Amino acid sequence: MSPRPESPAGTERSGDWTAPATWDDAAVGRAVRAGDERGLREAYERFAPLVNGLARRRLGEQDAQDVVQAVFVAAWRSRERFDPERSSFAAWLVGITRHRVADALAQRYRAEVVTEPARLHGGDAAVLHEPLPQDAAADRVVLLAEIDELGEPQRTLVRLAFFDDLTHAQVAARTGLPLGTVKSHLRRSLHRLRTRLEADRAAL
Amino acid sequence: MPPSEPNGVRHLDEDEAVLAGLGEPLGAAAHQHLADCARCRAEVTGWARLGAARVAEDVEALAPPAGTWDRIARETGVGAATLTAPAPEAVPASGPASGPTSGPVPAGHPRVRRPADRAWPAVAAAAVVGLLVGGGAGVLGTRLSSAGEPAAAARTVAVSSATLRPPGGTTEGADGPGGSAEVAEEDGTVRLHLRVHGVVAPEDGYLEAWLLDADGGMVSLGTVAGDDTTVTVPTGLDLTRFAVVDVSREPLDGDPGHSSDSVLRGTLSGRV
Repeated sequence: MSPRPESPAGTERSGDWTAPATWDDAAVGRAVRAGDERGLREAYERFAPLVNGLARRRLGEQDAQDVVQAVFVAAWRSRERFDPERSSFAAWLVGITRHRVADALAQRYRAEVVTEPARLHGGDAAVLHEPLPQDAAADRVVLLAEIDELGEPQRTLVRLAFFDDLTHAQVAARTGLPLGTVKSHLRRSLHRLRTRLEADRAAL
Repeated sequence: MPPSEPNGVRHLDEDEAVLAGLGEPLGAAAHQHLADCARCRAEVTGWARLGAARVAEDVEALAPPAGTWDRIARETGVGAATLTAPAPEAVPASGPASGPTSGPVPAGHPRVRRPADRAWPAVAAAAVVGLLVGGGAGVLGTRLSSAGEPAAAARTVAVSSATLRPPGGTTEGADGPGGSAEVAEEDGTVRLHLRVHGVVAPEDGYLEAWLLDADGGMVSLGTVAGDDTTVTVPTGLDLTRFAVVDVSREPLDGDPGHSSDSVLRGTLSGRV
């Protein structure tokens, strides 16, 4: 578990509205969950570009902005549903984003049904029943956030094995940890990451 | 040891399955086995989503258009005034130093909402009326501290209360709309306890609690659910200024401002 954040007086970056600089992402999530308005503001500062970036992959600027607004409003109103035991805060936001993007796409589809029925073909109705838009890029956001939440040494081990493409033996040599320890850490960590990644349907 | 079955079939061990799922090349024997074995293919496929995420391109971070936060702030009632219309008098004297000292707690700094685009003067005028009639409508009692609950009184102090009535003041009787509001401080957190009766949320909407000042300033306290609701008052909010408790009927229209449809109102009195 991450350490409780500390926010001693004077560490605020500026004004009375910014969250303490010591807050990590998990602390931001806890602040939002606790109803701390600074948490929502900080969440927006940290994650809005990512949420918007995800939305823009499928939507135009206007619709994407609507999604960003809806995501943070929903996050605030449903904040008690965020369960730090089940997902990182970023992953939770990504889950909400997927729902909202799906809603926007479905809405657009319905609008087309009304305005341009000739454009539709039989199979298009399936659009409304598609699973949540799910793409590897969104999964990557979740994955990186979940890796961040791993404790040490798991976080370093996963990064070395995952992104530096080191073999288990190389990871062991690099970190000085016994090969067996590396393997068992990685095995458990990968299972956790997989579970977290696949938990997104329950996000909201 | 790799799992094997009595007939000598050698399945992929877990590490091999993970590696394969993550897109790493397998040895020739394992590769061949995978082609023949549905069970191992399923095992590998289970890791494919993680594998795809691992090699996916990063999402491009794109700052949302200007004004997006303001829209969020307006809709949630969070921090709107500070960000859209900084007004020194709107920020109570509650600096960072008085904030929480360990970890995030629900003690955000209150921001006063001043809707810019609504038919606001009508509500402001009503708030003034509420203040004027408050002397008659308010209840001076402080139930929590005077109702013989010495144990609770040690930690819970009722600081003020109000009787809530329809703003028009025409409906009388126990069956009509009405209620009470009590402000109490417990362990440093100020809460408003609302008891209401005879009011119903719109069919497509909800009831919302507010604190109003005489100048049209308002602070949303949140949704009133049921006839017994406790909401948290923002830390540092000056209750001598925001002395009017207001309950409004709000449509689900996404507009965070006051609907001007107040159903109950009362003025806090007592020690604030």
